[in-house]
Amino acid sequence: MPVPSLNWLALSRYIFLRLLCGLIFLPACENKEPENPFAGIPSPGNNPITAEGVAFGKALFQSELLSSDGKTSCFTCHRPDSGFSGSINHLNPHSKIRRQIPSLFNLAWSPSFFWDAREETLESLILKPIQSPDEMNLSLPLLLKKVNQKQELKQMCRAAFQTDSIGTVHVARALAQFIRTIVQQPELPDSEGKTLFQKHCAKCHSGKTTSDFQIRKSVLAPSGIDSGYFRITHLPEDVYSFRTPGLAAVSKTAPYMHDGRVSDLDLLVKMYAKALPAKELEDPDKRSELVRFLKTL
Amino acid sequence: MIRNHFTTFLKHGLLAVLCIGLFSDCRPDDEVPQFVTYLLRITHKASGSPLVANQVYTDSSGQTYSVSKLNYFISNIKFRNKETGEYYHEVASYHLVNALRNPANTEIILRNVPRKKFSEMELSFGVDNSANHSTDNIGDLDPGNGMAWDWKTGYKFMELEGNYTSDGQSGSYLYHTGEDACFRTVTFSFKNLLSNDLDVVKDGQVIFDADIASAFGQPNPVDFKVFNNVMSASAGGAKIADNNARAFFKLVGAQ
Repeated sequence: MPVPSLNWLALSRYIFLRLLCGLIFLPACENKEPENPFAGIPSPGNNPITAEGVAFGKALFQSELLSSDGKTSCFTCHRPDSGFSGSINHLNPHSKIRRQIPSLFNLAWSPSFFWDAREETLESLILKPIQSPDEMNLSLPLLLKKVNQKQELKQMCRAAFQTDSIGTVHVARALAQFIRTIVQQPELPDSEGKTLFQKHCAKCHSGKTTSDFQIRKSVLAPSGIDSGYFRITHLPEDVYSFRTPGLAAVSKTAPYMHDGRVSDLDLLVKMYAKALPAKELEDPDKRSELVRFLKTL
Repeated sequence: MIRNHFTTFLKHGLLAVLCIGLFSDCRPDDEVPQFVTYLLRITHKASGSPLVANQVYTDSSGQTYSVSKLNYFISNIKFRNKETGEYYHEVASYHLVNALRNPANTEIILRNVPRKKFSEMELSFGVDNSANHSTDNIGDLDPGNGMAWDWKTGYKFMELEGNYTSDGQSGSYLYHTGEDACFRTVTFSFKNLLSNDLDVVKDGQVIFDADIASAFGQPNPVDFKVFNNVMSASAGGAKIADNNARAFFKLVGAQ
């Protein structure tokens, strides 16, 4: 009985077709990939958000190694229980900072940073408070020396960026990744307060981020000597202009405005009602409805 | 018959071996390399004299000055042949020069320069806008090198600091230029220097004198008494950038 010979050509064709089908159909059919928890959060092409990068960034954010006194971390001022903002009273008594500590919610969508919009990327911004003499007061070479002495951080850097030699770029990218994941964009049901908000506030505090992040003069009268965006551009029209902040967790981020001149939300709404002007909001009940809505953001 | 075939086989075999031997003589080691390495050498000066930290010099207006800090970026180094259109553009071309570290001989290594003839060289002062709107960069642009602004995104293109005396008045000066408005590109002709193109055939060097007195000279001469603190383009940095673009670098050798 003749032994059937193996048809190599047919076998090759079979293997090729199986591989091709696998490549084309398997990913679509077997939806086994875990859902990306960071999908939908914008990030630059050279610093995509990964779980490892966020974990490394969070560890750095919490680390007091990032300050010269060894007692201050990013959390010291950007407190989660205060909407990732805080009072300037946290700063050292010699600090020259007079602007309120801004909230960190939804910064992934912001094209500029700081009250005066002077920074263009989160990766660039993130190194400034670390080095500022009024904040964490740590030079970058010393920062790198300190973090590279911590095996745990080096391992996290390896997991995130495939190197355990932590460089400036890794610190900046990891912190930026973590900050981009600080998101609060609730879908809120219709209410009278929501209607009032959309009518009177949403021209500037628009969209899911409750800010268009544009640089503008507030309708409230300027106060103090802080010239805002003018300090960056030196253009007369930019005097007293500031970046429009988002309002996520606004009930926890008092005091308000860049200089903290407004102590609570009720007063803030009252002042805006007068300055806009919004006659409708002269009614205390309407203002209460608006404030009730703001507290849900 | 069999012997004839065998003889033919031997002849062809011998020919093949000879051919292999012939071509195998052209070993890669003996090949003329397509690319060579050039050094950009800079000799820093102050009013025509060798630059020495904190030494006092006299500018063209009779003011005296010293230099305690001089750091600057040069970028986008290119060789170009205006007739053939052939060019060399250094990849990731950003170089931070700390002039006082070795003022008499700062070296920048230019790799993979093609063996071509070039009529001119081009370089820029500062950091181009593709890299100047984020400090998320490595190498010489790493913000840990101390050249990132602390008041906005981007880099200082030049830090120039020292002391002056002008009309009996003394003080310190600080010129930190930057922002896109201070970015300048300058071109140097090899033909003017060599009366010919630069013929790149092997590793070589291009030599510049860099005289910091240019920062205080034409077209915007500096009166130290009234113009001694600059920290942006709009506050006078662009004038310093124009001065430097005009006369800081002088091509003095190419070989």
